[in-house]
Amino acid sequence: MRKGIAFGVATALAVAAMVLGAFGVLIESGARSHGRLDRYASAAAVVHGKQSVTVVKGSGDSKQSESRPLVEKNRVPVAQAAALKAVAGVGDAVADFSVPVVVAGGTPSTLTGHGWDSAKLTPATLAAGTAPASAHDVVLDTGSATRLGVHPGSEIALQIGGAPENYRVCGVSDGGPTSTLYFTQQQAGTLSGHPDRADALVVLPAPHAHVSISALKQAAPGLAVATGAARGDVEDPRIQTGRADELAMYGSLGGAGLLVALLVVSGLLDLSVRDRTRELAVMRAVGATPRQVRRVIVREMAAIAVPAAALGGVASLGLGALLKSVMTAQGVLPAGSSLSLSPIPVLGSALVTVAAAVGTAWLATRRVSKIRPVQALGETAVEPTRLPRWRVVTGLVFVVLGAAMLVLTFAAGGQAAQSSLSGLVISLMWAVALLGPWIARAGVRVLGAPLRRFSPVAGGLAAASSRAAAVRMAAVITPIALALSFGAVQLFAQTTSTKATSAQARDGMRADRVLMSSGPGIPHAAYDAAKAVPGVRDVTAVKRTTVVMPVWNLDTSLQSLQAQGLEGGAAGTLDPKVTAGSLAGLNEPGTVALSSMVAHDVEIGDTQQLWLGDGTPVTLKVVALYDHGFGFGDVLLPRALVAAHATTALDDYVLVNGDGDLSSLSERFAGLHAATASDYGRTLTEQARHDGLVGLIAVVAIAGFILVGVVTTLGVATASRRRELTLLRLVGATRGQLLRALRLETVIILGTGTVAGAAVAGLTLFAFAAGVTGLPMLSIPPLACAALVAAVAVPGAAAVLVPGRRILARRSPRIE
Amino acid sequence: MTAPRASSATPIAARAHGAHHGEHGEHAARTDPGGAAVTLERVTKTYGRVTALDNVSWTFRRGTFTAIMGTSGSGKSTFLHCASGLDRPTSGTVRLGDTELGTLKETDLTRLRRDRVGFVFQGYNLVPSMDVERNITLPLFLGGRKADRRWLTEVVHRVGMAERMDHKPSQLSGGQQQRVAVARALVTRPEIVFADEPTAALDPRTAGHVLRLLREAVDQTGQTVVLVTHDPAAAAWADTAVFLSEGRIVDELAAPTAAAVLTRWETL
Repeated sequence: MRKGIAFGVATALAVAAMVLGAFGVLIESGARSHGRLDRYASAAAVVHGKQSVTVVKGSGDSKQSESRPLVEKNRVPVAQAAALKAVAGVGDAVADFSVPVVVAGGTPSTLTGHGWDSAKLTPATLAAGTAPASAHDVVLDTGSATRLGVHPGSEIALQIGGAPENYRVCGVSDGGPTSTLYFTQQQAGTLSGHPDRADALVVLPAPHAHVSISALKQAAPGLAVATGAARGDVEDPRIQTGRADELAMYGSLGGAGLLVALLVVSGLLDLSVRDRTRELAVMRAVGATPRQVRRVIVREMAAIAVPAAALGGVASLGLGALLKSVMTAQGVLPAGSSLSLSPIPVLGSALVTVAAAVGTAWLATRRVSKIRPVQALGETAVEPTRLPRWRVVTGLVFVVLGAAMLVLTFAAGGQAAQSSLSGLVISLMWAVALLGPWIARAGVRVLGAPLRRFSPVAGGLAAASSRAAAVRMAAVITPIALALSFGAVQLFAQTTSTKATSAQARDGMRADRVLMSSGPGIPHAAYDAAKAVPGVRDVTAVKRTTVVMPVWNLDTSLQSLQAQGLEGGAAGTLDPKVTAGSLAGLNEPGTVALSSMVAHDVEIGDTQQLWLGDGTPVTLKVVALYDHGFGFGDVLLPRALVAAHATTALDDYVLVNGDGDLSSLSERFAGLHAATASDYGRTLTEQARHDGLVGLIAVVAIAGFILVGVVTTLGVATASRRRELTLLRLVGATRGQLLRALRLETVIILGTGTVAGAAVAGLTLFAFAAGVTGLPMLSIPPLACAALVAAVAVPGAAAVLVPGRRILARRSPRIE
Repeated sequence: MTAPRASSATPIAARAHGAHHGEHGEHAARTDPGGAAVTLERVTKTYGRVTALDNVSWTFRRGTFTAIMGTSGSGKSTFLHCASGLDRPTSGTVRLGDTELGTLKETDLTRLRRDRVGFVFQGYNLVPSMDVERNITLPLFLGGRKADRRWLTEVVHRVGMAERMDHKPSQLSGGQQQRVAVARALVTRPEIVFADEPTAALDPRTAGHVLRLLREAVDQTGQTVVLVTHDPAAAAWADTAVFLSEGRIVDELAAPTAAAVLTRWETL
């Protein structure tokens, strides 16, 4: 293999290994990250409710279990503590409650309130005053006490579930976590709204005693027992909650990366083998068996792939760490998620890359090594004009598959449409890769004529050589189309759903004003107070949560869905484009409204089974169906039902219609402020954009790899034409003519690749918009579009022209 | 194989023919019988410390067929490269007609080669993706010129490829490919054709066909041909054989026969 080509192949392989390995690092870090262990650090174990919903489908061998994480705390009966205390070695089992507490007055600040029992978990000791004895006694940590300027005996106004109430500071603790406040154990339970169910039962060992975990498990049937780092997930569940989705996303992006790597590397290797056809034919002619030829190529490829993949694998640790830190800095990953580096992603990605390289090299040599020696010598420079039958058949199968997916997307709609999208884009990409030579030929036919008119000699040369080398062209066009379609689909599906979210939220928002909180949430009392304000017509309390529901998406699967609990005149303040029934029905308990995305074959009056935020299964009567799931979540529930099964009972928004004066509310409730409906829409849009950021960062990594693929493939393709270019120079083509011809050929290649990529992306985005968000929501910012094309075209053109110039730079042509 | 000398016209006849042909127009001045087609004056070419050509002077007269003979490494390829403008000498001057090649820029040099010089190489060097017709007319196409259909037809008939104009090079035998290459070299009516070992890969019979094509070009149209070869039989088709050794012209032989060349060759 020529040095330049070997370098190109090595670069592409190294980057492939680097990108794949980086996803490995992200997956490993995600799987090993746990919430930060702080208050539960001294616990032998933490007994908590299972933070996931699991259903088992089918029976016998076809048994499949599906699981979704819960976002709200699944609590534990306090009564269970007695059984735990009876286990040998257990010193105490503390029922831990956590309640967000807003200190009213001045700038509101948020503390976390616990029962006094929880102080035992930490090294905190009373530095002054006494332990809380009555319901309105509180102990603050020293830091907070100093900041708030209070001391034992002071009064302090705390807002918990309603309007601020006065509490008496009875003591100050030292040595424990900051921003903490202790009530009496009983008051903590009362304030949580569910005194019989604690967030967790924290098992403390007796001095010098060993606690048997299996004995604890026996003593807590139906509950989960967390030990070691997993205790942190109970204390801070954010990482655990997002883990499943995070891992699934890395997995699917890593899979996309692998697919892309296979396509790019196989095209590249095909080129490099093609470049050596003459040499291989000579080997065949002098008596090498096909096996020997193949072995030479494969061995050579391994010699390049192994060091390149190893280097890329090691570099993947750096790229993985970089991606992780970018995501954490952007706030897409919860703070405290840790980075785990191990040899597993290094070895894994290197192995996969080497296997892919050697495998595709083997496939690429099949054509050459199977050929009869005489034929081989004859075929050295001219490509076979017909595509192999398998390639045509497979390519057409993918076209049919893509068409079927397209029909499905339109016909099915909703979630089914969304899940058929990835199938659609992958089918189309494979079709482009396999039928590339046809596409290349079509591109030459279409673009060749105007180029010939534009520049007869150079255009004619460009068209002639492109036409003759359709397979080589295809190897170059495929990664270009791939880069563009991949980038465009990811980017513009994101802009489209962001636009849909903001547009649907804007259209459906009938409220004049929205009460929002700068703290942990809005006490439900604010809703009642708003109703009493003169001049206010409709008031709706909104509490957001996530529910788990089986959703039909070609198959029924368990999904986590954004949901909102509503109370009050929902119909007057919200209009998520109700198509059947009425949101007023949500004022009855045991009811639900579903968006068209998740409602499959459901009619008003049917029942729908789902799991609430804390995992409680409920069966609800469907009272309304609506279209605009993007702005409002896919499930609407009575607010009381949501609040009873959420970590806190605080509301997220209160929607208000009518021109009553709301300033009295802002004065009464700490951290509460009235905003306009458009402020609310902006918050939602910001959130939607933020949600898409994780994908976007990872996509940039893959797109970067494709770009490297495009550049190396183009570079290799140009370098392999040394002979052809030199020959033309000998026959009398000037350097200028050939450079012009190369430029025009690049126009043909990039043009065809862009059209093919745009076609795949266009079809997919069209299907996405039509099936999921509604066609008018399709958002393709022209500037981003141009930037995307330029990002591929500029390095692509450079990859042709730089080696082209070098080949043609020699003052006198030489024929080897 | 027929004896070359017996079957070929005399150089005098060739000159007369050339003058006649010159009346077609632009080539009148160039085909001035007996004038210099290419002149080398004190040409030296060194590669690092190796001197490939050592102070060589020579004039190729119009309408003549000259064979450059020499062993491998005698400098005959370098001689051809310098004489044809494919390479620049380290010192000395090369003139094609009245044009001094040393002063030309690379692009002008390429144009000059394309329009005024023809090449035939040992390796045929046809563009594999193009059919025979396109390969033959390629230099015209590159020059943005239209093919003179009459001349093209004549050239194609002369090389005997009229039936195979739509074949690809890979579908042709070696001899056929070389005949296409000869047609390509002649189609621009160049002032001089350089043939670098054109028959080295061919059997004697096929080689004879190709050499006769070159001989006929000299005799019938007054073409100037320079043939680089180490084959005495090939050299016998030429009017003059020039012997190169260690980068110098050591001898010349007028109206060479294979036997005479061989005798001289053995003393090189």
